[in-house]
Amino acid sequence: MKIKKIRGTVMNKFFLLCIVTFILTPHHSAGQELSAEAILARIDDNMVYETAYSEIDMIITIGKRVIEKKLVSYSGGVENSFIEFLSPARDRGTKMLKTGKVLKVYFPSAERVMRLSGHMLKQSMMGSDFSYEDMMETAEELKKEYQVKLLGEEIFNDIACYVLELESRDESKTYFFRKIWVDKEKFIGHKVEFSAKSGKLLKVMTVGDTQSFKNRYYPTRVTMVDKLREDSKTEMMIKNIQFDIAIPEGTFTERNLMRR
Amino acid sequence: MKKIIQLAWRNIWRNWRRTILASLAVSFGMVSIIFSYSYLEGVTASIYKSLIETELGHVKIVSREFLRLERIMPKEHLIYNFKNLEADISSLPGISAMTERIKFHLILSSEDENEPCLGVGINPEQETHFFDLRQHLIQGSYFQESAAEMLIGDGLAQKLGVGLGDELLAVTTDINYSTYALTFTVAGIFKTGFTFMDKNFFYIPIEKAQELLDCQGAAHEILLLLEDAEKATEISSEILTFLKENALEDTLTAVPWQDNFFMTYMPFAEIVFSGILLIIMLIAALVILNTMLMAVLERTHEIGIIKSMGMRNGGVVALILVEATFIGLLGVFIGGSVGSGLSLLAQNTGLDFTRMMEKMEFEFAFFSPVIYPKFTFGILLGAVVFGLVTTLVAAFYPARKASRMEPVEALRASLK
Repeated sequence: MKIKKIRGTVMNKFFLLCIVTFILTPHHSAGQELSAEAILARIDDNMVYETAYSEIDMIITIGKRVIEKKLVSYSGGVENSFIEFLSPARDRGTKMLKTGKVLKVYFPSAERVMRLSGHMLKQSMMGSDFSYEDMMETAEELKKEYQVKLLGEEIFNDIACYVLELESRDESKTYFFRKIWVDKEKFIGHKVEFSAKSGKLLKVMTVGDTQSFKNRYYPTRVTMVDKLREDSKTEMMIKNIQFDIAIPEGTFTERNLMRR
Repeated sequence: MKKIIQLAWRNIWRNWRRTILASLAVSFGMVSIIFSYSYLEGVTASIYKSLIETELGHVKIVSREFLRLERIMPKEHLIYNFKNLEADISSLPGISAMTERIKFHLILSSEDENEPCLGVGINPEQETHFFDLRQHLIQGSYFQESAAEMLIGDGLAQKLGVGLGDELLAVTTDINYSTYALTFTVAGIFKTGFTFMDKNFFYIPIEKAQELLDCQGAAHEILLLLEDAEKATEISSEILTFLKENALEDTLTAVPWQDNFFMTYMPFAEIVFSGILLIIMLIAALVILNTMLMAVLERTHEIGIIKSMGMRNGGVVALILVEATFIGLLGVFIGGSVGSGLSLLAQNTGLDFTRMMEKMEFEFAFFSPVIYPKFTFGILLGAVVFGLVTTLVAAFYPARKASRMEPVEALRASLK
């Protein structure tokens, strides 16, 4: 390759920087250390399933107020999920259906379906610290949309963790950066910090409890704190979860959404 | 003196073209001042009126927290049992109207579009004393019997792609953080000219807003209109005393319109307006000065003659000043009539800047795009004094200069 001419000192410095960075960066040639991609793949082994059914308690704490909601959720692979709220009374019967990138919400009080897309997905879901977007995300999408980098290792809550940094390939992504503390043994993300492109911390998710299942570990208590809301957090507690069971046919259809 | 007046009278008609020209200069100044003053008074009045109608009332009773977080509009900070409070307050003297509102952010959803917007729950009957939407409806009609109706801004209707009779789904998080939805029929479309309002606001009956937010019997604000707007502070403090007696002063407060943060902009606006007016007065004064200077200095020859015929310096000054007074009076008369006439005409028809205003978006109803200038007798009087004084001052300097000339010099200068 022919380099015509290196222009000015800025380019010189840039080259120098590249070389120095190259020398200083540790290489995982030894083979014992896992690459960032491999760590993500191990997380996927825990998080990805064919189907799942779960019963969840959602506890929203805002200042001194505590609001408890109960919901059930059906998931079918990466694409589909269906959520129905059971309580409190004003939320009962509200259902959500996600198929692909489309989210539809059914409101029993109005007997109408609202289709959510674009910026609407960034809104708080049912008053919680989770957005609709947070609820819809799949491991597949994460892999596609983010570039991953291993930052190092840290002890978090007495658990030895890898620290990963994910950077979005898409400029418009709400969470441009994600920093994940991954349990070195169980490959569960114990803490995730979601930040904007400016570096501003938007949300923090922490995993309280994990449970061991037949072939995986799964978080059963997750707390999300929306840093843009005043004094607020939302806890999701999985009361009962079953993996890879048969989901009734027609679950992920609009008809099911509007069923009374 | 009588002779001088007679002479002056004859003089001004001897060269009537010059007289008319000088008078017109004075008239021009008068018309500019009267009209711009009336216009700016109209703008100021319009700002006060819009803010009082849409936001402030003369007195606003509101939760302290809601007031503190006014921009976010936290739904849960309400006045509960406002009917009781209203009943108690209505015994205070000087209140001419009272209404209540609920204001909240929510999502309106049509078949294809979702739009975050601002809903206002109103008491349809009482609201007409405040912000009378009936005057701004461009389609449809005001609230009828059925309560599940909404009036929607034309810009918002456009964004959602809906028209009269269409159904919209209103989705919001209620005060207990449940998500709730109701459907409404578009009963009317309004265009207020306040672009932000037309693009983001809709109105529903307050009962429906209460149902959406799960807060029956509550409102975010109670607004009062007074017989005398100047008594707002007095009545607010009476209401505060009442709130204190009923152990409500920790949560609720009463705010007179003058104390609202919107109003903190007003002194600034008034300084700007005064500045504009000052510049206009300065221009008017310069025009008058220039014309008078020309009119007097043009007559050097004539002044030389009357001086050589024996008139004293004082006499010459007096003569020119009396002439100037005649010119001033004529100008003031023409300018005053035309200026007042124009202002009164515009006051009745209004000056429509809708097209210009469409590009300006204030987050609140700032001033109406149709401005009605506000002419008062005071403005006319001020302009008359200004016109006469400026004319006399403008004439005085050249008069003195001319009077001090040696007659021979004056004659020679004019022969050159």
